[in-house]
Amino acid sequence: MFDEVVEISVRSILISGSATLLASLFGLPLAYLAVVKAKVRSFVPIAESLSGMPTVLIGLLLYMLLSRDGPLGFLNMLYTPQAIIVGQAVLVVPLIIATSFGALRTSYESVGELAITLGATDLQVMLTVLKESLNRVLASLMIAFSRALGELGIALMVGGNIRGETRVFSTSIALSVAVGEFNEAVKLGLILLAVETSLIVCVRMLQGLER
Amino acid sequence: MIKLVNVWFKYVGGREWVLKDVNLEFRRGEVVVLRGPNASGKTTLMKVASLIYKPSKGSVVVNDDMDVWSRGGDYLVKYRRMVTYVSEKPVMFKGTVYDNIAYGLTLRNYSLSEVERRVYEVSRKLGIEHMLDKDVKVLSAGEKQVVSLARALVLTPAIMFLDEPLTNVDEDRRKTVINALKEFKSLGSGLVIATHLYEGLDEINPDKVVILKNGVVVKIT
Repeated sequence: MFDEVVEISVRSILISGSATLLASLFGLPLAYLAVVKAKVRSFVPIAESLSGMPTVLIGLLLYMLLSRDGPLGFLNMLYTPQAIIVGQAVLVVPLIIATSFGALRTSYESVGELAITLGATDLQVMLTVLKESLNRVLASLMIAFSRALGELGIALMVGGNIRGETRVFSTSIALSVAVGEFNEAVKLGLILLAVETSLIVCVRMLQGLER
Repeated sequence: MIKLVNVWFKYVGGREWVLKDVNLEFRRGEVVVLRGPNASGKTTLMKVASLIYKPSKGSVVVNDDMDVWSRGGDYLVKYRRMVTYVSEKPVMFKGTVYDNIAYGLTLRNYSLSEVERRVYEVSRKLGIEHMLDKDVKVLSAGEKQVVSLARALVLTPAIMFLDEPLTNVDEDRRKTVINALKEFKSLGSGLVIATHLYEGLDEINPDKVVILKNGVVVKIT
């Protein structure tokens, strides 16, 4: 049983970590684009409203896309860890845009313009802005990771809670409660809580470093 | 040479013109002092001339290259590297004084030894070599202003735009800054200084004084 708890913990962290990384590849460039191009800034409020999107809704949409008869059924991704990664990435992209936009904008308005005056190319300006706001951007990614780790709807609908393959913290807790194994559910809940608390402490420390 | 031709400027979302039909020329080896009341458009004019802001109407001509903004990309960066703007409120990158002064040289891919040589040279001229290892967080406003001046001087631009360069600088350091600017001019570079604090700047012998009011050049002497 102990081995299974470790396995679920490691799998949950790997899946949500990969989802956060995947989401950051889209979210951070989009947030930066919104900072430098005033004309496309209107998608930031849209991202803010999508940050609270119900996970079951994303799960349902993704299920319809990935099911055998769906348009992406040929990928055979349903009930795989990859499906959960894609779903959680879709979930946290708007959150990453919404939370990193402010940090990148503040940084761009001060050091971005300074870098331009000192002869930086567009790429050098972007790297400078990212470097200067790194702690706040990392804090934003940790918030996204935390949201991905704690969600249930996507993991359940497109992951299927398959033992040894797609079972993660949230689905495992839900299953334990459903079959009356409350001790198991509490144990996993405490581990999830410990991971989430450590993340919040890290976010606070990074934000503290900025002051 | 930088030439502003019929330049008009309005901020995004702004209603009023900040610059109205400005025609000016800035040359190497020339010192121009920009004067005018608050909100007369001095800072905006310098940011347009140093290619940070794109004019809403009119064009900026650099070395007879008509309207560099329409060429954009690498050309814009090439021309931007010929000029440097130093803000009235100095902004610092995270790190030490050395990191800040070396920033522009690093962007230009200078070798580490050349970066070090130039940083030490400019720091000695401005009397700040003892603070190169200091974290910029602990600097006073006056010290930050001198560091931001060093960060620009080290790049030896053809023309340097200085926004109120002496405002926060204390009496003791003012003479050193003025001497550094005089030396910079003697090397054939151009200086454009926006200031309300004229004291001491007459030592640099301005070639031209431009008076701005409500975004309009009202007098050139």
